[in-house]
Amino acid sequence: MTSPQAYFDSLLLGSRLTQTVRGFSRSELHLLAYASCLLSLYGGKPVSDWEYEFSSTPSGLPFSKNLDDALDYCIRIGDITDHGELLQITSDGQTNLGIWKEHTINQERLAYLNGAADCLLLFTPSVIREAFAYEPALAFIKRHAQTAWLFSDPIVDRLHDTFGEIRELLPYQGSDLSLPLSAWLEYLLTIGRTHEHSN
Amino acid sequence: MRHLNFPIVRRIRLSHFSLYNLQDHIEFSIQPGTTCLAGANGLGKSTFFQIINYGLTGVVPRPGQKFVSVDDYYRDISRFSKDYFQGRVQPEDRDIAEIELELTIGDRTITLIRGFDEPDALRSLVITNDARHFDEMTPEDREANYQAVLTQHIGLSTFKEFVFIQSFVLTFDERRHLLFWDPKVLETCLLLFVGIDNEQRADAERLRREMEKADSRVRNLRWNMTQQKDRLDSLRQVLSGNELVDDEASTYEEFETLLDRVKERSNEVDIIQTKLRDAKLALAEGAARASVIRNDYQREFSERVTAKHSVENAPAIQLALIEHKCAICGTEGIAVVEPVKKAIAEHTCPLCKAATDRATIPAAVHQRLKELDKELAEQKKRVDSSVLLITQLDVENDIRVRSLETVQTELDAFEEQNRDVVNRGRPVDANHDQVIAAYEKTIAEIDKERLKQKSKSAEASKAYKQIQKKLEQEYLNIQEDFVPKFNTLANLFLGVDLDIQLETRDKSVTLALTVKKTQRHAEHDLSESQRFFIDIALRMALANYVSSDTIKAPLYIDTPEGSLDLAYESQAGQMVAEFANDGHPVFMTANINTSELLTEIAKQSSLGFGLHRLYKWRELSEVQEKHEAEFENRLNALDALAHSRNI
Repeated sequence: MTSPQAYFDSLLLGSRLTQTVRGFSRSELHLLAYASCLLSLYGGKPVSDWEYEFSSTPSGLPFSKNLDDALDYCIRIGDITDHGELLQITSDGQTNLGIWKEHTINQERLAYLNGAADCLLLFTPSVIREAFAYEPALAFIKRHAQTAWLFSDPIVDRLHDTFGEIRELLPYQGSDLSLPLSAWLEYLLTIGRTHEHSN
Repeated sequence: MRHLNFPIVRRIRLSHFSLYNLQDHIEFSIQPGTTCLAGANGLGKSTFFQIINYGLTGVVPRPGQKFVSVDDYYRDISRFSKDYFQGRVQPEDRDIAEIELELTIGDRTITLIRGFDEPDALRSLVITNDARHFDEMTPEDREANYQAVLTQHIGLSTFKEFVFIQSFVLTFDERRHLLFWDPKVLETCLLLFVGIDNEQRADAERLRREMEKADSRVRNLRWNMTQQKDRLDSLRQVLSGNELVDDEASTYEEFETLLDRVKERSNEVDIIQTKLRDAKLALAEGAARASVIRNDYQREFSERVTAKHSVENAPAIQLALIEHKCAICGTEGIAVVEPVKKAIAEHTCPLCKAATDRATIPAAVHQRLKELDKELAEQKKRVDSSVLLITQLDVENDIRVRSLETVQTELDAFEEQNRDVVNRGRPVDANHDQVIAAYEKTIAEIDKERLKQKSKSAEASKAYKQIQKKLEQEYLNIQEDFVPKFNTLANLFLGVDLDIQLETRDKSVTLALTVKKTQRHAEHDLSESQRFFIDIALRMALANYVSSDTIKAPLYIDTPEGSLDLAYESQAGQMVAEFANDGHPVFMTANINTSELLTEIAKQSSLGFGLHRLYKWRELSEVQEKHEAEFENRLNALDALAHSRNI
């Protein structure tokens, strides 16, 4: 059973990634969807509102089964095509995106999905992946080669603490959610790289 | 004039009584006159007394047992004997330990054997001039026959009456129960001795109990009624209060203003909280509805949209792709897979080659999803609206609650400062009238019950008075014989004029004692030893009164000397000897050191004085052993004195 939200997210993020960096890998799509979900949390929504869950792979990257199924579906019906190592949205995919974008159920997510996608203007997907690798929960999971849910209560509590700090640091609180995400990614990169350098 | 022929114990044989561990068998005959069992402290003198009583009656008087009636008393003490002898008879001796008594009653001699664990049975019974074969009867039947014969020959109506007389009149034992100072026992005793019949005596006891119960109930009800009346008075006082003066009226007005403000704020809080509850309910309903719509949307999307586009989900295609088999012709092999895969990739149907609807969602499905989405959006608006309303109401509620708390605190402080004015100023409401009415009803009910109990007591009292009157009349007949006998005996002891008079009280008829023309009702008016011997004198007078010329009632006196000084010991001895010389067998125990008492009895007894040494039956303590020779010397001297007197 394909989740309509995961399908829409695949189309929207697939579209943004195709436009910005001319193609994407599966893991990059998962990464941006995860970032979108984090922004929804930052925006005060409960995790359950995102409608699908994320776990961490042993390599420390976020993964959603629903999103993966939706991506398969998109490829199967031709909304997304497979060009060698990179995936791209097709014109049919763009048409369908236009149709589903009108649905209120999806409009609630646009701000978060676009906020995450906007970061692609500042960071390449690989840099975003690097930054998240320094995120404490993901880093821990990677170190211990575990598979775990990424929105368990203790992790969510800590994320809220982090978001609270980000809000205090940012004087401007507009509707552009790429700003806090960029700030956080920057922070993760600085801390992570410093820590690695010192080691 | 009533004569009662009490049994006279002639011989005692005690076997295997563990307490007296120096002798397996203790046996002695009791000669006329006085028999004394002499021993030191703690050797078991009182126990021997109870053994004789147990042999006679099958019961042992329980110390402190309250007396209500003859029948109740027998019932209450009848189970005590087993407890009493536990520890005094070792378990290994239980089957062989027994008391054998030979007693005479009238022209009969009864020989009985009773075990200490069988109070309701006799191991053996022999009655002279009685042809019945008691040895063929059950132990319980022997006991029943013994009781019947004994009761009949004494001249009483029931064996229980004999137990009562034996316990309270003929025995002065370690309980130190005194007749003079127990009106109930003394009255029953007089009823029995003057010859009031058994039924009337039982009636008297019953009526006395009924009166006591009814009177006790009346007292409780009266107390209860007083309590209720006090409460009612207090309530009325509070309600009536005093009129408020000008300043107080103004204070009360201020209180009322504050009270109104509290009510007003409280009302506001109630309204807000009702709205809040409604809004939360609407939110819950809206959220639940949104959840249902969202689920419908998800289901519709998954089932209609994704299913439609899944050409490869068709069973025939699945067969080709997974099992490499054609569903139409049955051909197998990888060659079947390639054309199917190619057709799917080109978005054509592998079967009919028609283009698959790859990018366009079926219009009807899309329409349905749009409807659901619209519905969800509307529902979401309502939910958002409810959330907003709740947020606003929460803020409003906080403000109102704080405002109420402020006014309430103000009111509490004001009430605390002006409590008296506030209490008195409060108007009487209908509820108070109901409370007053309830109190009045309760008081009336209690009073009704009190009058009922009072009347019950009066009825019992009226019937009881009849019996009292009869007792008074009978006493007039006996006092000429009985009172002088008591005076003589008591005078021998105290050396002063004594008198006794019948005194009728509400719930008893008793004997009042006059010493030197002054009434001495209370126990503390006489010394302990004086009380003991005056009570013994009374028993002697009663025993003497009921005895016939030929058969004199016996008396059993357990260590009566108490703390008598030497002078009184001698006089007490004279009193006992006087009684014994009249033909009454006296069985007593005494401490060896009370030589003056025993010397006087030995000296004065014309019918004989038998002395038995209890310290020969049981091991003495180390201290007592040191004085054994001295004991022996003293008792030998007494023996010699008695012997010379008997000669």
